[in-house]
Amino acid sequence: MSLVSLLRESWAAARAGRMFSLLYAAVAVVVVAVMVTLMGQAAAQRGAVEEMFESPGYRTVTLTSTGDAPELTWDMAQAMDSFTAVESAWVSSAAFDVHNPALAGEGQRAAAREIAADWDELPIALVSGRLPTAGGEAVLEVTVAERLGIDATGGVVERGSGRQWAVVGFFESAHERAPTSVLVPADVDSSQPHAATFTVASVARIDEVTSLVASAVGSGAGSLAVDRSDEVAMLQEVVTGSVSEYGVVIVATAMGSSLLTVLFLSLLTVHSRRQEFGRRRALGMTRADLVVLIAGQGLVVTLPAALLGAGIGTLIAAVAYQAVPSWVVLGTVVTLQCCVALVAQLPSAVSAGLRDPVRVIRSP
Amino acid sequence: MIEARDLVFGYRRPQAILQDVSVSLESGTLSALTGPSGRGKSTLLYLLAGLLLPWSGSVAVDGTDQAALSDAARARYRARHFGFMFQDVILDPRRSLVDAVLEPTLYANVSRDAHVERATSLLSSLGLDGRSAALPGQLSGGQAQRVGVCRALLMEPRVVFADEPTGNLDTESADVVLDQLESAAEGGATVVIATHDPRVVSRCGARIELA
Repeated sequence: MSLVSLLRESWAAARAGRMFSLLYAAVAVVVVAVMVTLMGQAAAQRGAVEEMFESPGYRTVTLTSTGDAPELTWDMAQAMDSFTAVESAWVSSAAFDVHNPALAGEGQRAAAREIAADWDELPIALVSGRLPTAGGEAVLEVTVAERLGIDATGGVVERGSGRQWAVVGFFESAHERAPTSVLVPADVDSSQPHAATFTVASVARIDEVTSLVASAVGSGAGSLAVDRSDEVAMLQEVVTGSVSEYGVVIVATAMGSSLLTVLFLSLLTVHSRRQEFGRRRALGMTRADLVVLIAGQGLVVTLPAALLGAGIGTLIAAVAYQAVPSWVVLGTVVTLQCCVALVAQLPSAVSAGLRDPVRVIRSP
Repeated sequence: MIEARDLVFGYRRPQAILQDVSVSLESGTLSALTGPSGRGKSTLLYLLAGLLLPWSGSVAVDGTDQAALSDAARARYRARHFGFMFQDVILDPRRSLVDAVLEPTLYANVSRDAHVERATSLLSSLGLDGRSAALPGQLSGGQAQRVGVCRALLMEPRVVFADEPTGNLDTESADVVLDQLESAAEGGATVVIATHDPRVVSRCGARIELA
């Protein structure tokens, strides 16, 4: 038989056997719609996880000098800033205590750091006042200012050595690894840098940029401690991996259910039509044509039903999860469903082809 | 012409239904396979048609050994050169009468349209004119068997195999069916009928009795 004749016969048979065709179609619609919906949900979850792990806090790395000889220099901030993958960078001194000298008995203490950076690019949000422009000025984190008893009218903070800084502004840290507490401009002539911190444009480039910065430090880099969100990166891998596995489980479960259902329906269909197939074989249909006819009947029903299911699933995913699976995902799911339908029908189609037509004709 | 030699066949080994059966059926003849029920009339018919393969022996149709052909080649051979009438006519309930008659064109891979006129003409000659679009469910048993005759004769086959074609028919319908088979034989076809109906046997030019 020609392929056109076979497809025409398949279509005619699908139309004639409405009950089975509707069941085939229902299976395909439901399976594909569920798969696409859940894939949309998984995509939304994956997107949320990725977005969360791409926050600046997770992209910030601190190199701390641990050796006796100083490897870090104050001008490293500028050097790190020159990397295109670096969003912001700063070099800070070791923390030292400051207090508000206006309060009797020194009052509360807070940790202060000298900072060398392009202050405008520091991940801090100025709440009031301004950033320091000279060596004797400081900015305070809002909560620290309250603790030290310094308000918007200003004041000074003082180190134990008696050195003072005029408070010119108040800020809030942009993320958990951003500069905090009390920040003063670095005294590059008399202070030693202790840590270099930089925020990379993406988690994926952390290793690359860390290596670049470490190599820029030079031969003493072995005495640098790297403080980065390794655990977070691992967690991100685990979570996104779990989401991906979830998608695979969804597909496998749906396809497995679909395969078993179509297999069962197909066996029923072929059994109920055994006399028709016997007649066709006796009149000259080849086994191969019979197999194609049966498989084709399933395909002409499954393909449009799967497309409809993909549309329904996309709609549900868009409304419920604000996530629309990509064309590749949709195409893959529809193709998979068609393949499953074909595979599931093969056993019954082959058994119909192998059945003795005489026995069927003579024993309806 | 059909030449069968030393056929041995059974549905379950080692119990053979047919043992060393040889027949020779000439073209242009109406031949009857007769004998009591259970002696293998229909089985021999389907062996001659290549739908069953003998345990041993051979069947040649116009010199073509059926056992030497692959299953697909035998199917194509059946489609192009054989016409079949089954005891239960087995019409597709969803096909119109003309479509049912034209079904062999699908398997013979020939133009359906080129045979529509012959199909309509055959239906008319068997008293079913104007019923081309009807469905099998609207027919009596006799009418359905007439459609079966039309389907068997559509491709002007070399051989027509008929299994108890008049078994369920009244006399008038049986005569109509036999007239058509007789015409086919007169046209050069080999017509083989498995039957236990004496009326049919009496109209056949050759008789093979399975004892």
